[in-house]
Amino acid sequence: MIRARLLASALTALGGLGLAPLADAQTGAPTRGDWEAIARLPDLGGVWVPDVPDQRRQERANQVPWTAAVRTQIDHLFAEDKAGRPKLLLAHCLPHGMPAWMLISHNAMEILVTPGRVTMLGEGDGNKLRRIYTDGRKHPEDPDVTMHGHSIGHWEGSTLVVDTVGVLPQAYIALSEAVGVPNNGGMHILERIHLRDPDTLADDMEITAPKVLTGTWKTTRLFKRRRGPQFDIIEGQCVQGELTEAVDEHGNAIFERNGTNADGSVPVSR
Amino acid sequence: MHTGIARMTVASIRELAFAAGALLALTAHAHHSSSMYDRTKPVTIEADVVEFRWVNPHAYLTVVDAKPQAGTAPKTWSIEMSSPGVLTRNGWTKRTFNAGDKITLKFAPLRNGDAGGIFMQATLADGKVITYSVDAQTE
Repeated sequence: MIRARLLASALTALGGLGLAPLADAQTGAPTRGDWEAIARLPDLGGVWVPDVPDQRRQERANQVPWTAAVRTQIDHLFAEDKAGRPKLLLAHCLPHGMPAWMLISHNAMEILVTPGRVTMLGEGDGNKLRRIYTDGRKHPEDPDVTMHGHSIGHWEGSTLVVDTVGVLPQAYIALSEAVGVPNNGGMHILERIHLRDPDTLADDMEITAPKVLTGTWKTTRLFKRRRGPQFDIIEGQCVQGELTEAVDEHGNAIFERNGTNADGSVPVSR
Repeated sequence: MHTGIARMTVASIRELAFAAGALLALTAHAHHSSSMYDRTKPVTIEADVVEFRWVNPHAYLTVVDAKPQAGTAPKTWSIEMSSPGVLTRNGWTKRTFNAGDKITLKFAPLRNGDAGGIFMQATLADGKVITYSVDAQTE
């Protein structure tokens, strides 16, 4: 019991510094104190819309330390896009993944701050979701690789510092929807997320990807806050664009793939 | 329902949409560059709306050229635009266009000559002008 109380006071001290949540020492459940601590953090509510004009400025002004071989690919992709033959980096309908989501998305996101967690919910492209654990845990030794990776975070004053590993090698480091390369594995992303002014969120990123970059790439992306129902996130299932509404032989409302019946056969009428 | 188009069956609308060609396969893809469209050569047509698909990743319009050149069959166009999220932040709704609407439509055509394009502007029968831009979300 004494050990539990000592642990609780240690966690309280850490929580006061914003380093870890208070959490009930025995159950791990969030406490009233955890929620009160969140009230002292910057408000990240509302809808965050990417500053797309600034993305375009960054595309030209912020040089990426690509390896020589990758730079050749990038130059080719820029030329192809300019010539009207864009490579469709996101044609697979998977989420953008990290870091492309933060770098090039045109769609909005929400940020939920709860005890032990910060959650980013994106618009469009299916499961666009980042879970950032702020409960003091470390990365797993051998994380499953995913489109958004494994993220741990902590607050340094009013800045959320996020460390991400375990991103699928296929996830793009992208400058636009037509220019970018897969990170090819071993990527590490460090972010410092903070309010630049009351309604502008800055994500200062440091991307290390030894397979495609010669050094750490530092870049910033901006998001503008919008409040009000007219700016709400719209559910966006990317794969829905490949489906059409139909009615089956029982009268059920179903989806079918464009140009094919549900069983994959081509309708006779076509 | 005051036009022939509005009376079309769902099946015939979908066949028309299918006939709009390769662009459908393109619009099914997630967000992508729009450089396959030639914004330097915009096309403006009088058009009848066949269908307005309010879906991700891109909404699109299927329209028929209402004033085809003499001796030619009316052309069906598939016109892509941004996602419902971006369009909503520009004031659009799923009812911004409706089957049977008569509109003046300006779009950037596909460079490869297929019957598709990306939306630039539309004027509705009541004179209302419809536009959007991704930048407008933050302006």
